[in-house]
Amino acid sequence: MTKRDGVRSIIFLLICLIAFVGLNKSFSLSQSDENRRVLNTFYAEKENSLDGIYLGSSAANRFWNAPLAYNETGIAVFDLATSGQPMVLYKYLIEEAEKTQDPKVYIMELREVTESLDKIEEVGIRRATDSMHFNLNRIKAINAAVDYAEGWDNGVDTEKLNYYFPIIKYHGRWQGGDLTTKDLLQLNRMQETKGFFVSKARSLKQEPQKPPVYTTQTEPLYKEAEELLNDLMDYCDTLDAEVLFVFSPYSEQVAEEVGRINQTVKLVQERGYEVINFNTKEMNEELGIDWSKDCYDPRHLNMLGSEKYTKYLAEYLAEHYDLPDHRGDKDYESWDEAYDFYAEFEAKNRGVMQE
Amino acid sequence: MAFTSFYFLVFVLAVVCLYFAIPKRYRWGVLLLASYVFYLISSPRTFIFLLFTTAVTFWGGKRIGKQNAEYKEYIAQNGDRLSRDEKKAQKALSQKKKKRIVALLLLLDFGVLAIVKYFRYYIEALGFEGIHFDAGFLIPLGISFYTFQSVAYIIDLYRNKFEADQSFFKFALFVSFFPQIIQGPISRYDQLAGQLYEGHAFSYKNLTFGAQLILWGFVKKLVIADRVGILVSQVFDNYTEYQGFYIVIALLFYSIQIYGDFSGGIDIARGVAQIMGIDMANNFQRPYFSDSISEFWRRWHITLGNWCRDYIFYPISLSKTFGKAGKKLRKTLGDRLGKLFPVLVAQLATFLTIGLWHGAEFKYIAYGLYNGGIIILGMILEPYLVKLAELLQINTKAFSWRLFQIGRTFFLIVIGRLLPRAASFSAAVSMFKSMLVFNPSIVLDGDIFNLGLTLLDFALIFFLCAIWFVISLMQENGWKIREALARQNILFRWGIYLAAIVAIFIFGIYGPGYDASSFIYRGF
Repeated sequence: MTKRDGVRSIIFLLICLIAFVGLNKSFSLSQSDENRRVLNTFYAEKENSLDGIYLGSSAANRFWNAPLAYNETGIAVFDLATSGQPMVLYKYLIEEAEKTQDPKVYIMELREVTESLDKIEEVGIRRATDSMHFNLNRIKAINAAVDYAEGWDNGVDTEKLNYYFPIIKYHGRWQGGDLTTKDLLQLNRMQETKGFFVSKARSLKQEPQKPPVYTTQTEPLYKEAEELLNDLMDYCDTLDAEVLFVFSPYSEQVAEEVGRINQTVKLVQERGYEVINFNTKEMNEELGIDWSKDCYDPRHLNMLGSEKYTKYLAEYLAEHYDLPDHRGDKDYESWDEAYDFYAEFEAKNRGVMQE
Repeated sequence: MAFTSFYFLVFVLAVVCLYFAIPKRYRWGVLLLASYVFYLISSPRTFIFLLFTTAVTFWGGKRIGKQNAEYKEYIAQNGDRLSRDEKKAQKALSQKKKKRIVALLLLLDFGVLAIVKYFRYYIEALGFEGIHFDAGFLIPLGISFYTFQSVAYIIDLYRNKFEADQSFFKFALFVSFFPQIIQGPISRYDQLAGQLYEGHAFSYKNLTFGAQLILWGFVKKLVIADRVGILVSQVFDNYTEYQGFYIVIALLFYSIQIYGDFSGGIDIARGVAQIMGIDMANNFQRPYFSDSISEFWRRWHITLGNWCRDYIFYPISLSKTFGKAGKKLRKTLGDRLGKLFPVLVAQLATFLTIGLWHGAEFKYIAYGLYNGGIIILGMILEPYLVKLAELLQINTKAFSWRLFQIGRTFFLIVIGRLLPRAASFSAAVSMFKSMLVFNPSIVLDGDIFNLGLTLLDFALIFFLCAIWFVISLMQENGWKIREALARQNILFRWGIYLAAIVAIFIFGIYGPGYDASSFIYRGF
């Protein structure tokens, strides 16, 4: 092989590599998917600008109204939550966050601890990992999530390669009109509300729910879930930031699951971590949750419910973690815009809801 | 480890790097190691069968080789003193000894093949209730290929074509060379072994040409064959629900699928070998351009056809026994047919073997007999057909006649493929009957799009098949595509390579499949 051939081969391989990366960006989780846009927005946040990061599934991003919290107290706590996000991914998302942010507090939703592993869904893993930047931490996140989900009747694809390279999963998107120009031309679409999910279909829906079952009894956790919780707390021990664990409120009707929440609270407190369980009668009353009006389904709050939840928690965070008030700060204009977006939505639609 | 998997590509990359990284004289060792690693990863539980065939064939080969050498030495030392009859007697004695070894080896090599590939089927087919084979009773990977290759080695040694291999490990490489173990080609010892044992220098041309062949193999396999395979499986797996044009289209698509799948796999195998400087036998020569069934079988799975020709067809057609039988039959069948008799028997045996090679079930035997039957019928009727053509004043030199012949052959091939593809012989018969319904409206009213392929899929298939056809036509007219491409400007060449790579990634049928509906938000 001559020198010229060698150089040509290297150039050609580089072009192939660039094409491959480009294809993986386009043929990935759709840019129309809000979860994808949440990660895009998170990566675009100014360095060291976030006071807190809220991790979780829809039990987080349907509850924590980040723009409203900012407007109420001036704190910048981003919803780094994706629908169905398994807890096993928390520490990898924190690793990802720590690359550009230095938050004072991490808030972690714990609802998944009460569920068995067959509830984990591939789509829940993918919504987070497909949207993460290509790096070693992403590979670790995928390995951990797939290993954790493997061996259970949850339908999770256990071939890790299919997660490493999104095109393996999504290359068929050229059919059926699912691949739009946005996927090809706008590879970093932003989400407007700092990770909080707001939509007419769910935020405005009011579906009356029974009040949850209240009990102080405890139930043993699933073995794997308890191990995961301990592993997470071990990891939290290494963090400089504070950690607040939460159970957001929902209309749980099974005493056994409530018992597992109580057991989790006990275990977390034993390790010296702060935890707020919003599923006690006292906390429900403190929030002022009206189960006939504040939910869109048994497990999620609507706009009215999330406002109550957010206002309470925002005050709590600002107070207990000494988070600064950024209102009026030019560096936080994007947070003002996020609130404006939410305020406009709220002003337009609040009238359709019964208060 | 499938050829089309990511892991195979990584494996090949590692093997190629290692191959060129070590001194030439040890490079065959890398290939043996790689071949055994490949086999152990792909089919660990049947590795013992590969070892058995290798060991038995190597041992037998040495025995035959020894016999050849002894005879040669005896003649060299005593040739002057011996009369012609004595030499003949000595040769016969040596042949007899060799025949015993060959018979034993055929029994052992084909015995293993018969037991693992056919025995289970016949036991179950004959209804021996109470005998069940669990999933552990696996058919060893590539057993038909390496058995046929080993048998060819033994018979060629018997025929004194070359010296017996003296190195067990080198011979083990010849039997197990990883690019060919899954689906061939069935290589001959004198064509391949020397290339494997010799350490080849790195060549940029081999690298690029090999990579191009791999790329083209991927396009044929992943983009074309696996795509049309969706429709084929839908119709054949639910054949009672379909009739008429559905079956016609499925059959046409199956002909595309099997060609793309098989030749694509062979291209990948040959491309991998070429990168390391090894030229493996070609297995396909544009078979759908054949103007007769016998020509088709000289262009399709060429190495199997050649194997059958050398070890079944010629031995039978040239055997004294069948020659004598033919002479006797001349009285009853006439001169021409009597003369043809050994050839007809040889054809029948050849196609019976080809049928059985595909599998143990009756449908495969029927498939062999179908092809052989057409050829035999053609041979018997040949003078009458020639006369008929003369009577009808058909210009058999004209292009239109050749076009007709190609069309006729393609039609017969496509119809015949009902047999191997259908679930069983009776399913094939049932599908043939259902095919006779005339319902072209399914193409017009869009029902055709309910078979798993969209309009875009059809468009893609037709576009790529058109490219494939043009390439084949160019090759048929003597073009050497890769050489021609190498003479083009770099931008044009790279554009084509990149287009092929992108097409494989986007249009290939691989991965777990994306279902937009699975991403609709659900209650979490």
